[in-house]
Parts: sequence; structure tokens; C-alpha cells
Amino acid sequence: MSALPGAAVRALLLVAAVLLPSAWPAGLPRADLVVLVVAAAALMRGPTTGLLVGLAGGWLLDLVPPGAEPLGATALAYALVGVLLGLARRYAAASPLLPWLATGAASALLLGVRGVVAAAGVGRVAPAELLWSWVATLLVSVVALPLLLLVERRLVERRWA
Amino acid sequence: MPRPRRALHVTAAVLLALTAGATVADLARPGLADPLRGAVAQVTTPVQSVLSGWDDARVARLTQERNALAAEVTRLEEQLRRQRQLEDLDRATSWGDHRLLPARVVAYAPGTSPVGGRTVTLDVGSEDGVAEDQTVVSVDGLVGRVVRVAARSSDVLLLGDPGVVVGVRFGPEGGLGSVGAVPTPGLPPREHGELTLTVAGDTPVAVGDDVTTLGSPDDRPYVARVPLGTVTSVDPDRGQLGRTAVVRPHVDPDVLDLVAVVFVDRGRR
Repeated sequence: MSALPGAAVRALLLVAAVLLPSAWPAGLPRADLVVLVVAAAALMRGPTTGLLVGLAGGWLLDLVPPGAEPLGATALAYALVGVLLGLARRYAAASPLLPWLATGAASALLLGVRGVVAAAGVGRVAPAELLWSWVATLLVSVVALPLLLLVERRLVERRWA
Repeated sequence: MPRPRRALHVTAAVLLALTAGATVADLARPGLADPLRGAVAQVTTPVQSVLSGWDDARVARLTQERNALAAEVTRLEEQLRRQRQLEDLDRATSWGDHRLLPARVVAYAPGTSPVGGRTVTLDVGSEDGVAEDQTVVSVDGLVGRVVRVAARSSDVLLLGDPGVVVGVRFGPEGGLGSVGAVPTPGLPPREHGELTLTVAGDTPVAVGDDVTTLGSPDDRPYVARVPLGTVTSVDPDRGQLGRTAVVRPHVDPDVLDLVAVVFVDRGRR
């Protein structure tokens, strides 16, 4: 009945999503795992949950080494993405392809923000790197997103979230 | 269930506001959150290092070894190059009783300083025995003289500085003259790096004459018979007091690397 187990599971998933890229072989483009967790929660539960999970994931990305500057900016960006994905919830059930497309769009939005900020002179980024990161996220989400959605569905079924 | 959802909305709004506040605070005071970052890093870094350390420890060790060896190769190559330059220098300086202290040019006077002589800085100083007014040479010939000495460095006023005039001998007869960077008025303009030889006596000067230093009392600031340059053209006689000619110095001050400070151990040892 309580929402606590659901929050704990999502927190665990977020921590794993933030820490797992360390095990990624060096040189390969890094997939964004946090956006997948945010997308699964938002697509199942709506904008408010999407915002909260996005905030939490962004804070983790901001704080866990190497972290990001300024503190909280990543959290705000992921919160925005969580809200947008939550608004897309009603269309997500139409086709199993739609969550994947929505996640791809969300990832593109995040990377696009990063690219625009870098183009404005704050920070530095290689466009090819962004593109490859996006492709890697899309590829990983093919497998990971259905699993995460399944977890979310189980949480709903057990009224844990 | 209207109440929990309402609570969720309020929580979300509050957390969002707090995050925005944190961003503003971090922008206004970078480093304010460093204790927080440090605490998070303390918790997460062990996990990250375990996660990233799953590959063979041998690879890490071999990479380390390879990097160390590459650095060693670079060091030895540099040593070899320096050795070769020193040999050249020793062979080239056959002009008297001297001891050479090898030195490397480590800094140039900026070309943008409003008032500046042409000086360079060497990596030897009074701890190595360098004193003011010692001659500095390179493989090709005269470089200049020491004007300032610090404990571990010394500044060299280069030949070609407007304030430098060197007494010289030139030609097969060893005629006397002086070489300076500023030509007397009325002479044709000089190109960059060219010096003017003013003949002291009546000795004829010809294109191709070698110019060497005359030497100073006690060999300070210039020791004798150091190659300085070659006469490249003789100025037309326009009634100036002495004949003048253009000298192209052997040393290009723009590409100096390994030089040597000359010690004259006369009477000692």
C-alpha cells in the first residue's frame, strides 16, 4: 500500500544506472542509463513521478564523481525530461515502439541541451561524441527499457508505487 | 486518492525549487558544495573503482611499464642529442685556453616589452660559477655576454642588441674594427640580424672576410678569436670616418638552444 518500496526500488535503479558506466569498457560511447530509469517511471506513472525520479537521477549525476557543474543543473534538465515523458504517458500504451521512441527523443533533448550550452561557450563537447552517446543509449534501451517498464508494472500491480 | 497525489505534487514542487536554489547558489559561490561532493565521492568511489577494475591487473601493470619505458627512451634520446651538440661545441671552439660550461637557453625576452634589449636566460647561474661579463658562445660562434647572474640562472645580452659593440679583427691581415647593431647615419639600411663593421684603420675590407673577436683585457667581456660573422657587403665610401661593411653573424639568435659560458682558467690549475 505504501509508496516506499517503489521509491526504494527506483532509488536503487538510479544508483545502479549512475555507477554502472564505470564498468563500461573505455573507448566505447557511454550510454545514458539514468534517462532509461526516468523514462520507465515517467511513462508508467506520469509527470509528477517523472519529475521526482528525474530530479533524483540528476542529483546523483551531479554529485557522484566526476559530477557536474553547476550543482543541480543536471537535476533540472532530467526533471524537465521526466515531466515531458510523463506527459507522453497516455500515448505510450498505443505501441511498444512508442516508449522507445520517446526515450530516444528525451535522450536527444538532453544531449541537445548539452550541445547548445557548449556552443554558447560554457563547457566543451564534441558533436560526434554526443551522437555516439545517443546511439549507444538507443541500443541499450532496446533491451533495458522493456525490463525497466516490467519492473514498474510489477510495482503498480503490487500497489507499491 | 486525492490526498497522496496532492502531497506528491507539493513534494515535487518543493524539491524542484530547492534544486533551482542549489543551482543558483552553486553558480554564485562555486565550491560551496565541495564538502557534499566529497562525502558522496567517499561513498561511491570504492564502488566505481571495483566496477572499473574488473579487467586484468596485468594490463594495468604492463601499461604502466610501457609508459615508464617510453619516458626513459625520450630522456635518453634527449641525452644523446645533448651529447652530440656538446661534441660539436667542443670541436668548434678551438680558439684558446678555455673551459666551457654547457648551458641551455630557457627563456627569451619578449618581443613586446616596450623597452627591452635582446636578452636570453640560461639555466646556469652563480651556483655554477657564472659571473657577470663572461663570454657566451655556441657551436657557430659568439652569442653574447652575461649581464645578470642569479643563483640558478643568468641573463645574456645577445650580439645584435643596440647597446652591444664588439671589438673585432677581420680579414686575412687581421685588421681592427668594431661591430655593432646600429649603423652610423648615412649608411644603407640593414636587414634583420645584420650588423655593421666599422674599420678602425686603413685595412681594406672585402666581401667574405671572416670577422672574429678582438678580445678584451682579462678576457672580459669577450675572449679573443671567437668567430663572429662574415662580411657580406662593403658599404660605398661616402666620406665616413672609417670604412664600413655589413656583417652577417654566424649565430642566429632566434634559434639558440645549447650554448656555453666560457671560463678562462689562466694562471689557475
